[in-house]
Amino acid sequence: MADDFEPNILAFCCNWCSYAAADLAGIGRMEMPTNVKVIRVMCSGRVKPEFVIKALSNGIDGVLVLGCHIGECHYTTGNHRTKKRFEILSRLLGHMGIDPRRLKLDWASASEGDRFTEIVTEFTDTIKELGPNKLADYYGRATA
Amino acid sequence: MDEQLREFVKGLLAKGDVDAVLGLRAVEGCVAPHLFTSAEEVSSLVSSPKYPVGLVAPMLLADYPEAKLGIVVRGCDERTFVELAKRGQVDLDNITLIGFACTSEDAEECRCEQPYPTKIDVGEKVEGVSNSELARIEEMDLEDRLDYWAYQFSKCMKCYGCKNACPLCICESCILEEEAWVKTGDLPPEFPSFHLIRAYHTADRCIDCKECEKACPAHIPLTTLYGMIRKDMEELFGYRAGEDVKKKPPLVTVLEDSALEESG
Repeated sequence: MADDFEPNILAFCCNWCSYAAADLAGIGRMEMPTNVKVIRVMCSGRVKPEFVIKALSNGIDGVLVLGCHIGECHYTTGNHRTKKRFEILSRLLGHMGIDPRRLKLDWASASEGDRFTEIVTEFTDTIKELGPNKLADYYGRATA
Repeated sequence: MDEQLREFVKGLLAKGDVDAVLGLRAVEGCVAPHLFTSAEEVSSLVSSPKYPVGLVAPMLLADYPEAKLGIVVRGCDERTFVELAKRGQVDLDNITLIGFACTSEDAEECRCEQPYPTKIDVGEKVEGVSNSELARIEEMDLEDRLDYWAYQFSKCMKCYGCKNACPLCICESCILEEEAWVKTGDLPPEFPSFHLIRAYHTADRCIDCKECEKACPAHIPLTTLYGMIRKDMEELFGYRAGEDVKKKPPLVTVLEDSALEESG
């Protein structure tokens, strides 16, 4: 893989924990790759698997979904559902022939700016290793 | 076999256990669902080819909620009714299921793993057949798999046959008909999002009746993909769609596996 590949990564962060963690990482001037574009959602449970499917289908190289730790969800059990859905989704991606490592579900609380930085750095490295997502090239569609 | 089924249905109607029986009637070389209300009519009742009666039963029951309905079901139809009942589409208390076991030819044709209902009234139980295509794809690496599906789905002409034939596609509005998710006037539909979305939506309800695959004019092996997810649901959550009416679909429950309670 060419070293100059800069992946396009989406991160869905929940309003109550992981978005605050991203904020904290910013305020703390922590260093991390800039490949990640954050989309704020009220809860990781809001992230329909279709969001991920559509993003990958359109050529996004990797999707991060970050929520509160299990047991700390602002809506009590929103992230429970996320966890179950994404386990199935990740398997489904594999069955279709898409590397499941392009999708990662993790948790970061509002005080874990360092953890957020870690997750983003690790994930960016993984995606760099995997190379560009070529799904958008299928059937002659232009890369997004 | 059909004669046995007719006798059984006649007996049920004569006893007055049911007001009417939903079954199949031979029409111009094909079959169509028909509501049999009298013993005389039953002479035109047939069992094959299979037809998903789960598609029409909820409509009947919605119009006649008090009716006691007998329904001729194969193994897959029975599983369909279990899933429909879970989702509030039918009330199993008002239904008498008449179990019909498929023949080994039927099982072979459908590559059906469970070609019999739990309660068999007519026919003999035969062993299921496993889907060899599924094992073949599981052995491929990711790249080959993607190429395989890219080829298969390139044949899709977006006729929505799979959706229309599915007895468990019960949403009133379908996300696959929304412009935001599926571009109109574009063929073949976006790969892989169109097919992944449908596959995901069937994850906790597909009961392996093969109707989607039979309806598909392009012969896309849809149930092979759905079969893989059925396997995952069993591995991850110990859940088999269509098995137990009391078991909530795991995707709507919390991690401890209890149903999600509305907080007051």
